[in-house]
Amino acid sequence: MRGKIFNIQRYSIHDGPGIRTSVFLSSCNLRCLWCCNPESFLDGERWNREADAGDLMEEILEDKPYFKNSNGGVSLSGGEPLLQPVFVRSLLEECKRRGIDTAIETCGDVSWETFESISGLVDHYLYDVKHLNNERHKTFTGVDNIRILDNLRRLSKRGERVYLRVPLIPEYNMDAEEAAGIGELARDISAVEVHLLPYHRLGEKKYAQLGLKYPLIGVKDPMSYGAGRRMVEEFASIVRHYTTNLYVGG
Amino acid sequence: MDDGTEHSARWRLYCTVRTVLTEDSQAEARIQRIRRYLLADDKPRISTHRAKLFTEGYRVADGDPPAIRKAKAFYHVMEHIPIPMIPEQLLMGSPVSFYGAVEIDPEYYANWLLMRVQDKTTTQLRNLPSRADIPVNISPEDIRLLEEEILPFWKDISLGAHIWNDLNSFYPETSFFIQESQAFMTNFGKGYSHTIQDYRSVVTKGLKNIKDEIKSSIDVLFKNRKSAEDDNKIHLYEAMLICADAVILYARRCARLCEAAVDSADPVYAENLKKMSAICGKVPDLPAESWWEVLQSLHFAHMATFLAEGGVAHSFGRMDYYLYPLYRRFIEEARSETKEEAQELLECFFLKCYEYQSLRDDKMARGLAGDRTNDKITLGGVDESGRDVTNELSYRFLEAHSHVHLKEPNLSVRVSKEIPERFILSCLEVVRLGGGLPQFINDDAVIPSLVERTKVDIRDARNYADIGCEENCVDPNNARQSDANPHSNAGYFNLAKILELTLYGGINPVISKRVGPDTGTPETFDSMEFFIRAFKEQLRNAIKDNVLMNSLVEYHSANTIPNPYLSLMHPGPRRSGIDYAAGGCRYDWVGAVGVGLATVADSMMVIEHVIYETHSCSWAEMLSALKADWKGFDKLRSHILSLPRYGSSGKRAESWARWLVENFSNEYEKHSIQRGRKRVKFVVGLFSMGMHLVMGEDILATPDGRIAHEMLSGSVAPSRYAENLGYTATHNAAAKIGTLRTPNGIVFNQVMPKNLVLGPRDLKKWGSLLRTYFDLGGMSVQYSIVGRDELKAAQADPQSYKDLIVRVGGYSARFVDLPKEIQDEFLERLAC
Repeated sequence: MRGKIFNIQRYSIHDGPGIRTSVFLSSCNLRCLWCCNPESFLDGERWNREADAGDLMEEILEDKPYFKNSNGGVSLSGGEPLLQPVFVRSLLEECKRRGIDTAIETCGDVSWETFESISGLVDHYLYDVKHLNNERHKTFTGVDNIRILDNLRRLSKRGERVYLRVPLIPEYNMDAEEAAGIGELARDISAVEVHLLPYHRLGEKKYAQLGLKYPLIGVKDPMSYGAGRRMVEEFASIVRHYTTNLYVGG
Repeated sequence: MDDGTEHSARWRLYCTVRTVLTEDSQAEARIQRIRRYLLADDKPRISTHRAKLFTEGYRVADGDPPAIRKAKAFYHVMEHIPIPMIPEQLLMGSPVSFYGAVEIDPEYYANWLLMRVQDKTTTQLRNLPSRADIPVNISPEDIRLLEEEILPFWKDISLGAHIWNDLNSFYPETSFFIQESQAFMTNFGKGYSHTIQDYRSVVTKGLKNIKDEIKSSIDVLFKNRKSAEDDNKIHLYEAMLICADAVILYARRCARLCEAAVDSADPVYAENLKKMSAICGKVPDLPAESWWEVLQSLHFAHMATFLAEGGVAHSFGRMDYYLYPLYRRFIEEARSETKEEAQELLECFFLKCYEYQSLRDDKMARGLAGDRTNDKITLGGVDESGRDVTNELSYRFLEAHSHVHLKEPNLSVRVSKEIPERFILSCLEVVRLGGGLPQFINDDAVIPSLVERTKVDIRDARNYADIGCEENCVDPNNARQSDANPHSNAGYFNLAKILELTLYGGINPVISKRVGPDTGTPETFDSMEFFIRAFKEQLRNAIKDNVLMNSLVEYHSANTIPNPYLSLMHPGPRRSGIDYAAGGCRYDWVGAVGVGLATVADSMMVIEHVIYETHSCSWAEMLSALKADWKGFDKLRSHILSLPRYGSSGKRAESWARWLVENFSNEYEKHSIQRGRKRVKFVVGLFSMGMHLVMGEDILATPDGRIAHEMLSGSVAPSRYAENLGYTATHNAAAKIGTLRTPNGIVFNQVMPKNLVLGPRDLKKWGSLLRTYFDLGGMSVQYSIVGRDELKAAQADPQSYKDLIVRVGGYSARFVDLPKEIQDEFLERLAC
């Protein structure tokens, strides 16, 4: 079984519980202006390579003792991993067979059948919600959020462990109304944790390397200046009204 | 969690440790003023005080037995050497005559000071102020004094001169090999280094009682003299008594100095000076009866070592373990000082450790840039019966380090299976401040290796502490009074040079001279087996000469310039009357040190793969590529660079690393040398400090794709060409090199960006990384936490970043003191 990936990150510690090996799968159906992995949706061998599930498992297994000691495991990330559902399923099955904890990081914009196909194989869903307002969601990611939020509620109903992950982008979603909405959503779906991920510009260098224009010009990294940090803290304090399991930075 | 500046984080951030001293306390303000005072003076300059006094004393004692002669010279130093006073410092005594001074030990290295530097234009001595790395100022008057009066006296009788003379007279081939092969460095340009002395006895018994014990030993010997050997013992005992008196005399001079300073001091410090005067009048002669006296007594015993014996890395052992009963008695029960006062004193003690700087030649100064002496304090670990000893004082030492935060003293933490989680997390919080300390050592790797390779009793092995980088030794500060002389550096051994000699059939290609045996050109090697055979032959030959050099070092250290002070400070020599360097301790071994592990392991993998398996390259092509420094062989090189290496899941390369450790160890372990009446075995370790830079300069292009003269891989870290897959990949490689074979210690240096160690959850995961690495067999690890922006800024403006400390390879150094190449290595490791 082969699939397309663009990176493997070991000792990945901000993508789920414990020490994890994150496998970044290629291609994505969203086009978020702040995306820090633009190579995921580029064509060409240079950035994305074919990987064999068996070889991947071999590398993953090298870190099994670390997973065990830290309650960590494997995170499938991207891009949007669920655009390769068969490959994902095969990796997840192999992990489960070896007793390795699994997480999947998804934007959720895939059919419900896709989620059905991996039912019982995923220990943690790291579920991105980029905006609750559909118009704004569409402006900044290129797609509607209706299916995304619908899938999220269904996962919750199915009893999955869902971690809500919200990128915080100044001038886009860092207002009190959005914070309250995220808090309510987290409460409604009984999110295990909420991760607020303040926007950073680490992706900017990649755009230059890839010969792409950086789409989000003029937006500052909120953690880099006092007022920005206060904005993040205010957002967090509103969300905390609804849930206490909140982390800035994942 | 931590959004403040690094500076205030030193007092504020603890989520696991409650600190005794707060940032706004007057005590901490005093500590920080002393720290700033020390950091403000960063222009080391030569002092001739010690050299002049030692020489005078030595001349006068002409005709005395060597141990007594040396002791008298030391006494003369202690009687007259100026004593510096650091404003507000609560402890007295210094290994230097003024702060910023670099004292000279002419009895060890007068000869190299007079040698010409590489381009022959001037001598090492005159080159000191203008050399590139760690320049040392010297006045014209001191140059005159040294050149006309001091150095000529020692030129032919210093330890270094004796050894070179023997090499040239009796072993010209070995002498030639040492000078021309570049296979290893010499290790005799300084005093007998790397010790852990018996401070506990000095503190609890006082030198007075120790002297009484020695006197009764002399008494017994005089009554039963049977041989010349007994006479030698009497001489050594007499020399020990002179040394003890010298330290007591020096302490009393300190007492008078404090008294004389009372009148001109501000009222707060005047009160302290009165107390200091009383304390210095009492210890180390008498047993300590307060925490202040404990630390003052211990410091006197330590600082005197440098003035008596020179050397570096005179380490402290398991201080939290052996001082805890005293801390409990004086602070928690008798309340001789408040907890705040106790902490201020401990931090004063840490600051005292920063005063010594050793003098090194240009090459060593480059390889060890920024290192001062590397005296280690070891915390935690199990006791004789296997129980974890972490206690209240362990946390106080962590606090002291985070407040003082200088590169001395060096600090490590022994990690046992039972170490409290809170202590690990507290340590990581301190490491997170940057500076790389504490370093972590695995009890479950070190103890078995000491038992198995150095034949140390399990109880003594459990009582190990590390020295300097991570050289493991038995700590004599324990109830059993078991001590060891681990002579932990047999001379940095360049593993890549062995590879190079194999590639060039015994010719050192840098100077185009035959230095090793003619093992033929690899072009005639039909299989990897032939290459391995040739490699082993070059290794065997180089180690043989290294062992011979070391046997001369041992001979002259035991007989020509013996070590009465080290003998006084070790239980074994006190019991046996035999010098520390003549086998007086309970355990003896010699520790060898390999440099360039990953460079060689990767190269072996490449040779096996491209030449013997895929046949994608012939030996002729490989050798041409190496000689051309890869110019014109870009395709071959980029193919080679794409192969999985040591530290990036390259299983083949990693198994070559194990092979190398095993063979390096096997070859050394075949040898033993004479130390006094004992036969002493060799064991190995792997650490490089910054020597991988200097040793790389001696090596042309290597099969792993490395360019000529580039640095080698450092310690047991992956090479700079290894793909960065993440920390578990590097830790896996280092865990599997076979640490049972390396009781002399390994260093594994990891650079981590700040954003990986932010919140408490990050710390827990980091703790799991550490524990898993140790479960898998890793022996030690140290983490430098740095921000790329900060390093860049420090390169641009060194003046503003004087206290930015990073971890190099077993020691910490001020970033701004490091050669540009090593600085850039840090930046590379952070590149994402």
